[in-house]
Amino acid sequence: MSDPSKVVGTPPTPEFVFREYAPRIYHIARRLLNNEADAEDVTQDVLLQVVRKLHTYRGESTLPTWLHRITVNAALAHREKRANRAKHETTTGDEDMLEAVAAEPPHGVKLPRPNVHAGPDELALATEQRALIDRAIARLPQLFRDVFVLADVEGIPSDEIATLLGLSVPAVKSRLHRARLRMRDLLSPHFEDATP
Amino acid sequence: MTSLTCEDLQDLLADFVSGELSTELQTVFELHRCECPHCGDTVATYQATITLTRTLCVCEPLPIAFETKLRALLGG
Repeated sequence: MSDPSKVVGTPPTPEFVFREYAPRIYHIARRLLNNEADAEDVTQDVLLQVVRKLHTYRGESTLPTWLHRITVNAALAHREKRANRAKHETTTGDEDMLEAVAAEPPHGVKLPRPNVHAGPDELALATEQRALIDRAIARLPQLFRDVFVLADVEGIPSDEIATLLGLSVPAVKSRLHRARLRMRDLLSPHFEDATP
Repeated sequence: MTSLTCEDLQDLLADFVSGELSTELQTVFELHRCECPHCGDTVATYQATITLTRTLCVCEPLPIAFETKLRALLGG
């Protein structure tokens, strides 16, 4: 498949952006915001922004980098708006309860211990195995979750994440390490032949 | 440095998986990892966590109802 974004002077078409990047935009937003409805709002906003600005894309940064920047900024702005709204509303606590129930790991799901050199395409996880990892991500504190999602799910380099989140590179690396340790603790009981 | 504690090893894990340890540190890291079953398991599960997480971004479609809504909105 040819990638128009790699052809100098040829902006990608909206259809190409939609097909290749809409799912990624949605899933980044969903994981950063821990909420599907919010992720839909952000995806819609991002795609409308991108389609409007496509003619201005000159290829100074790669298309994924450009889209990551717009998506992360939109998700963080959405989160801030949500937090401000919550401050002004009386909460019943039901929302917190729902989130806690949703975050409970499923029972009986086992994870393989993959070869460390295996690429993402070589490992086909079942839906419930993916859900297990996603639920563990949802249980990370927001401070760690942002960095973990961008680095370990999306594969974005630390220096780019530092720019996206307004952090130093050492801060990104430190948060990522702590996030991975927390994830390891959450997933460890589910590994095949895990010691109880 | 001739040996590592279990705590040292945990602090060095991120640099180990990204291949950023010096040759000397890499050697003592590997030595401790082989001699300490607890740390051997920690390294294995830390690496497995990273490898498994990377699979999440492969082939994740949009929810069908949302894709339909989005296409209509974008005039596709």
